[in-house]
Amino acid sequence: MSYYVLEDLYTSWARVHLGECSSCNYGQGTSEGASTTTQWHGPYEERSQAFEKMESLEKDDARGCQLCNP
Amino acid sequence: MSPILEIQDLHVSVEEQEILSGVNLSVNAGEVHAIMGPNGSGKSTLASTLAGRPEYQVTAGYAHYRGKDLLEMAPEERAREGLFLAFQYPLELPGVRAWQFLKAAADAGRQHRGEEEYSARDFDRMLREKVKLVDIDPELVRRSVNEGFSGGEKKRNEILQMAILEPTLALLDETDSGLDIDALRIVSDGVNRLRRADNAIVLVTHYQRLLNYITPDRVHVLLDGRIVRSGGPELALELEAQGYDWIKEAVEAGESL
Ligand SMILES: Nc1ncnc2c1ncn2[C@@H]1O[C@H](COP(=O)(O)OP(=O)(O)O)[C@@H](O)[C@H]1O
Ligand SMILES: [Mg+2]
Ligand SMILES: [Zn+2]
Repeated sequence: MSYYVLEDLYTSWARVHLGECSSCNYGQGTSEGASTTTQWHGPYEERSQAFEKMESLEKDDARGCQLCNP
Repeated sequence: MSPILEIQDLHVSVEEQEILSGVNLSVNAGEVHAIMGPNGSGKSTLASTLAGRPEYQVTAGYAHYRGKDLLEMAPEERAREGLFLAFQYPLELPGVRAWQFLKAAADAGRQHRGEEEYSARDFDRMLREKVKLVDIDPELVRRSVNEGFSGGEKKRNEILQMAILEPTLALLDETDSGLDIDALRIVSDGVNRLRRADNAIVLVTHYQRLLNYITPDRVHVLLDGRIVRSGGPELALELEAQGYDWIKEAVEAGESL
């Protein structure tokens, strides 16, 4: 299992994903790199590492993805 | 608690041209959000996409409404599920009286929830209450939907519709043109009266002025199809004082947050 963190570069928003989540696509996202608003972090082997990374970003709205429920 | 609306990395194109380029947004129950931004930044595109208008093509990302894939839902299904969308250019329905239209809309929602349609009497009673709640002229509901309505009357009808349908998520796209002080008050009074702990309202507006009457929980600034700033109500005040240029400059200079 791999985990990734999606960070919004402009706003106080971040989400943890499972690599296999369709909207994560192992850190590729679905927009084929076209997104200029976000950055992927990872992969992380452990769930806890991904959540730690997300916490370190100090975002107000930070949680697990609704699609994959990591 | 999971959000009512969760949008992630949403990309939307119209006629092959990308208009929204990675919108992230979550809206929780009990919140009023304002989406602001200069003309052409993509505010109406976001609203139209959530409404399911076919010319808006989602090329990436997702939008979930109460945990379900919103983009997979037919527009009428969205309405039945408690999503209310009020638009810049409301439909005119000659020959259909406003109350008939409202009853049909209310009954569709009830049927969907496995409830019986309103009897004429119950509907009338409920309608009177709502007319009082949003403070409109009862005569309005006897006229044809939006036909010959003034801008203010259309707004009243829209707010009344919202009061009757009691949506879980209301999305109001308020145009910059044609909103006089009277219409501003109708919309803002309506929103203030209808905001509750178990619903959410997203107000799309070009108008800082509207936010003199409504205090949103969150304000988002859309610029070139991206949300480049989010904040509390103070962000709206900053925009009122300084316009959008300082945000553009900050974004171009690569400053984040
Ligand atoms: N139906 C459409 N057909 C063609 N272009 C559109 C359509 N809707 C929006 N656009 C284009 O998308 C951009 C954003 O428009 P819009 O979403 O209406 O912005 P806003 O509501 O913030 O003023 C504009 O360049 C506009 O021309
Ligand atoms: Mg618009
Ligand atoms: Zn996910």
